[in-house]
Parts: sequence; structure tokens; C-alpha cells
Amino acid sequence: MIFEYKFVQLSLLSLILYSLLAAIIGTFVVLRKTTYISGGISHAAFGGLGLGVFLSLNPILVAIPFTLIFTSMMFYLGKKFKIENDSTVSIIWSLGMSLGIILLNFKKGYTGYMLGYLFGNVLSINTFDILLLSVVLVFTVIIFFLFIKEFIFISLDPEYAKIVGINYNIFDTVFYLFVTLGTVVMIKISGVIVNIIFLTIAPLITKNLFTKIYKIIFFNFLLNVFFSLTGLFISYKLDFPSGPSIVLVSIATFIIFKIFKNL
Amino acid sequence: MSFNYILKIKNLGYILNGIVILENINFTIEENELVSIIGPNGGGKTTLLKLILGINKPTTGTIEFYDKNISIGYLPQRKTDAFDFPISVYDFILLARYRGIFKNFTNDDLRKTGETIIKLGIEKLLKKRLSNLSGGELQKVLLARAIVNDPKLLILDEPTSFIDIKSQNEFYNLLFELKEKMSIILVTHDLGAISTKIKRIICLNKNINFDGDINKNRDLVMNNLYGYDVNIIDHTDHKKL
Repeated sequence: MIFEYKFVQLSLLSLILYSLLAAIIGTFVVLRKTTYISGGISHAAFGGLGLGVFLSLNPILVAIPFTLIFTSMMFYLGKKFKIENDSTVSIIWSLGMSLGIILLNFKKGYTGYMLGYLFGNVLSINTFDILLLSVVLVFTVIIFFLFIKEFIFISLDPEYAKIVGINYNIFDTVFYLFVTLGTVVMIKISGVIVNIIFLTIAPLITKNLFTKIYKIIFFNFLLNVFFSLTGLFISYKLDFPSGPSIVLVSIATFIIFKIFKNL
Repeated sequence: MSFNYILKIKNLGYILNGIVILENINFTIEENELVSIIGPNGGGKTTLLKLILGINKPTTGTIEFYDKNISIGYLPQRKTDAFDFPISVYDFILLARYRGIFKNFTNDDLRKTGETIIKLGIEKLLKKRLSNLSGGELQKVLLARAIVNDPKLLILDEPTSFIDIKSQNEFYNLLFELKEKMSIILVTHDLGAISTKIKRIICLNKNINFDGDINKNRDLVMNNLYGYDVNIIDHTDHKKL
């Protein structure tokens, strides 16, 4: 029986944890219309992964501080030189990727890593990855549920949030901090390229169905579990890579939802 | 100690990226006064409101309220893609009762939200999504959010831009009712609807070039403000004023 294998158990557990993390962060990424910025952050992480491999350190542990510092610095410079936000994101996006590819190129025999980090490989998840994912998930749950009103307010109407006394800059920074943490720890599962699809597809469906944020997050979680397990099953049966298989399932579900909704 | 003013603005100026947006603005708003601010696009109307609301800080001058903890209601200028957030009308209005971090909504918040909804006659919209409302319905909901805290000062930024004439008239009638309980600043381009109904109009184009009743010398005031002759039509009887 396939479930007897430890790597399969770890993969399944990681997909459950990952589904909840993506459900929480993805809800606000979509509602704040920050999909493009979040995509940029995810791609910036590739530079950190390359640096980790280059320094022979744990790539994910290097990618977390690298992405935080790199994206903060780029947004600061973008503001200083009066560059539009979307242009700054484009620079972050391609610069992060380029740095990662160049650094990986210095290490012979590491090109296999590149594909794994670009598209993800849930079957390569180990106990340390699960631990890291769990820690980020616990902090995400605590912060987002403790400050749910504030996150709803800054997503719904940033200007009014400031008027009622919410410190917009602090919550905006915390939001991007968790988007960075979340996307980096999810890279091994979904990869930098397809990461953002995991965050966006479920909320794009559920935001049309519900008006309560907890319901949206809960059903995002269920949908993510469905996407992940079905994708993994297809990957196992057809010998497809796991990340892209999950993406195909989620996009197919989204298209079917859109067709039925417009009938 | 009693104050008869709600808001006093002295020598206010605002410069953004080296460009003067507002200069030497002086006026006072009194209790239960309804004042309209008109002026061309880019004349600084929305900037002035954002300074009053504390969203931006003035470059020069002061904004003084009769009470530092004054409650201000605000109905923002609408952007076309705003408010497609998945939230019900009821939750949207309740959220404006936000009191701070870790503070949950109380029974008083729920009661006040209910009362405001009844006052504006939008009970049927309670469970509707914000994005499914018509222009007139959305403006009423935004007005409900603006007044749910019983503000002493209500600020409205072009509230009738996206609604039909019938809804506009209903909206202005509501404003006149609200004026009994609060001071109101109304920014609008809709001269036809307000010029005969509102006594005090402030004409703003970087600085204030008129403050008072424009009906006494309408043509001259309009010409000074917009730089050409403006014909104002009253919506209600379609007569040139």
C-alpha cells in the first residue's frame, strides 16, 4: 500500500498544512488585489534559494531572510527613485530569478535543484520542511485571526482604515511579511513559478460564493486539499510532476466553476 | 465651555512634490451648518478633505476641531472598481464601529448599526453583497457607514456623481434631515442640485475665491471660479437659474 511509505505520509501531511496556509494568505492576497506583488515576492525567493545552494546552506532558510531584505530594499529604492510599484515588482521578479540562476550555475550538478524549486516537488518533502511549514502556519493562524478585523479593513478600504485609526503601514508590512514567509516555505511543494496559482485560484472561486471571511478561508482550505490530493493522485498515476499537476486540477476546477456560474 | 464652531481652518497650505495644491485656506464650520465646496477638477477639494480627515498632513497652517476626539463621518469619492470585496451590507456598516485592536463589537454596536439601517430605509439590502448594489443603493450604504457613529461632522466627497436624478433628490433630502444633528461638508460638481438649496458655498481653486451665498452674484462667482460663463440648470424643474 502506497500510504505505508514515509515520504508519502510526509507529502500528504505537508499538503494539508500547505492547503491551510495558502487558504489564509491567499484569501488576503486576492482580496487586496496583490497577486502580482505576491508573484514577485515568490520569484525573488529564487535568488535566495540560489544563494543557499551556492553557500551550501539550507536553501529555504537562506531564502527567507534574503527575500525579506531583497524585496524591502527594492521597494525602498523604488519609492526613493519614484518608480511605479508594478515596475518595481517586475524588476524584483526578474532580478530574483536571474540571481538564482547565476548562483546555481556556479555549482556543478545542481541544475536538478532548479527544476525542483521552479515547479516544486511534494515528494521531496522531509521532516524539517514539515516543521518549518508548521511554525509558519501557527504564526500565520495566530496573527491573521487575532487581527482579522484589521486585515479585513485594510483590504476592503485602506483609506477608511486609516480614518478609523488602524495603523495601515504596520498591517501592510505584516501582511507582506507573512506573504514572504508563506510563499518561501511553500516553494518545495509548489515551486516559485506555480506558487502564486495555489494562493489565488481557491479565493477567486470562493469570494463569489460567500460574504464571511471565515467561510471563505474554510472553503479555500477544502478546495486546496481537493486540488492537492487530486493533483497528487494524477501525478502518481500518470507520472507527471506534482506541482504542475495540482495547478492543472485547480485551473480546470476554476474554469468549470466559471462556466456553471455564467450559465 | 461651549463652542459654536466644529472646525476652524487657519492659513492652511499643502504642497506635494513642489507643486502648490492648496494655499492660504481659512474658514470655519459651525454647528449644524451645511457647507458645499465646489471648484474645478484639480482645484484641491479632495486634498482639503483628506487634510481635515487626517489622512494627509498640512504643509502649513492648522486644522482645529472643537473637540480633539470629534467623531467624523466620511463618504469617499467613488472609484469604479472599489467595493467588490465579498462583504454583506450589514457587516460593511458594522465594521465602521471599529474601536481598536482586540476590541470586539458590542451589543451597542449591533443596535446602532440596526438603527442606522432603519433610518436610511435600507433594511432590504442587509444581506446583499456590496458589489450587487445599484449606484443609488451603494451611496445610501456608504452614507449609513459614514453616520453609524453619530458623527458631529459629516464629510461627503462627490456623493451624487454616479447616481440618477431621482436618487440624487432622495439623497439631498436625507442630507437636509441629517443637518439637524451634525455639520456637513459636501464636495460636489452638482451645482444645479445645490445652488438654490445650500446657503453657503465655498469656491475652491487652490485658494478660496468665494465663501458665502452664491445666489447673490452667481454669474460673477462662477466666472471667477471656472474662467468662463457657467449656466446652472436646476434638475427639478430644468430651468436655467
